[in-house]
Amino acid sequence: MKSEVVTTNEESANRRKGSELKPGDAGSIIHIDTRDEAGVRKLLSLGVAEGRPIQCLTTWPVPSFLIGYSEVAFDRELTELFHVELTAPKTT
Amino acid sequence: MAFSTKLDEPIEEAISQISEKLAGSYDIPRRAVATMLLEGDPGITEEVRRIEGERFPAIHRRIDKTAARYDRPLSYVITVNRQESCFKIADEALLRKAKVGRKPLRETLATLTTHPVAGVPILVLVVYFGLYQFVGVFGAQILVDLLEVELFEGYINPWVNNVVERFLPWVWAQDLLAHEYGVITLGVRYAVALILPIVATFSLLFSVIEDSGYLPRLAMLLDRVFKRIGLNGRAVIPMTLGFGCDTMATVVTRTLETKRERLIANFLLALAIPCSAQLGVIIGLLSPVPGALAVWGIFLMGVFLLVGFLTAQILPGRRPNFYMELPPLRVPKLSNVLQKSYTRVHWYFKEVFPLFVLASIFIWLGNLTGLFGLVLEAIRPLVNAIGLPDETARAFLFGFFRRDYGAAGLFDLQRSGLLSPRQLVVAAATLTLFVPCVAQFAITIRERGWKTAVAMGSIIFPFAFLVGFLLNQLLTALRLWA
Repeated sequence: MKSEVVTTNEESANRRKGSELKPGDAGSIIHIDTRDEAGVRKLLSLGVAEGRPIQCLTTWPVPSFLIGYSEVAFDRELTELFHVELTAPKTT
Repeated sequence: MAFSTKLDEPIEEAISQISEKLAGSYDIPRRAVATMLLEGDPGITEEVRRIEGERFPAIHRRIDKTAARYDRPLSYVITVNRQESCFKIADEALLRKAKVGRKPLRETLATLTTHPVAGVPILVLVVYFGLYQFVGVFGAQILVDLLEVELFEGYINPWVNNVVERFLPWVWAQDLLAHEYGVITLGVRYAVALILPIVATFSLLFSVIEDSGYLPRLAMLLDRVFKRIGLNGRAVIPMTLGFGCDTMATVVTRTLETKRERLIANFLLALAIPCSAQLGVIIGLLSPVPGALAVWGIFLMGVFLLVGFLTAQILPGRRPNFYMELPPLRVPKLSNVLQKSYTRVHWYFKEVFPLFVLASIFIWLGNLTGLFGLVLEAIRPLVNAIGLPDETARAFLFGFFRRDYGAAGLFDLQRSGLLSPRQLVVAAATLTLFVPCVAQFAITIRERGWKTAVAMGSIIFPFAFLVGFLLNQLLTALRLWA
């Protein structure tokens, strides 16, 4: 019971919205909000899908990421549509 | 090695059942039709509804039944299925995996191109060497001189004039083919000697830039600016092409996602993006006066941004999204560059060549009927109002038929000392804004329809003169090049 609570806390601590990622953050995509179908289609066309590893490269002028073998960029609005579970939180 | 590209079992089942239900004939395999139906493709759904008629409701029920099994849209599930197959294939087929952490030099350069500060000088370098030196000087001046002055004016035109005069007794018929405004001596000469070298050098440049992976990064760099004017970074491609040829760029606006973006991009191309033919002459025209080129450039950029901003406020519609893959920066392969440029020039010629012939027929008609004289009379007061002498009216009228011809007309006036530097800047700015060339206008009609094209023209025409008037007042008030 106790350990379960800790796990949940850890999970939420490492969970980020795509728009909250900073350069260097890496993890895997755990959730995509499929309500915005047009937006999701654009993300999918660039390889953003649940379970895929993702690494944030830049946030300005436009957020860009390394997904699989390719580098992709899309605007903030689209980064609001997915969540990432960080595997290597950036050490500052 | 065998790879499976099977989708989820319930979806596979639905695909085979729907395929069996499809009775009509389709251009693509039934399996593809069924898959696209499940994905909710609007075009295919409509077509199947039309072709299958009474059988459609049963098909639709089968789709709904499948969709009910998932808590995500089927389009999402199918795409994820496909991606899984792709990744599996890639993982098994790749002999050497990419190293974690990429090549430092390439990466540094790639980062610099999108850097808000360092990205701008890189863009300036690309524009200066690529657009100005290669297309503007080498293409629009050296090659055009060679083809137009040496070849056409030296050999072809005199020969055509000679033959036509010998075999056609009527002057009006002679003028249609030869002389100053003939189909061969003007239309063909314009297409082959002027546009061909410019479009060819521009295509080469564009292919190099495209294959180097720079364009998506430029799109990324400019996305924020473009968002302000109702477009997004993806519009960088038609806008950059506009500096080569606005007509070609107008066709390329098709690649933009929404009707609103296509309209805004088309309007801005027609108004504020000078094509390379015009650019070449204007650069030549303004270069001798220090600062004039800068004033012209900054002024046009201001107009581009302001008008884009206002248009985006007026036109209703949803903010466009920017999304793009960023291929690694690469040294372009010569064979690919040549192949691409050839394809582009070939396509361009097929699309635009007939329009040049048509334009020269219009000019011939305008001259023959005396319509040109009337139009010149009508433009004269407008030209005077922006502080320019009577002679410039002709340059403006001809600018419609050949964007650069207008500027070339100004060039002659400058050489004969009829225009002061201030008048030159005002004339060049107004001429750039002033109606698009006849080919671009024709393409706009084809792409956007009559009403939109005429509406654009009737906004641009008074706007160009109004802005020219204001610029003249401003320069006079500042006592610049009095």
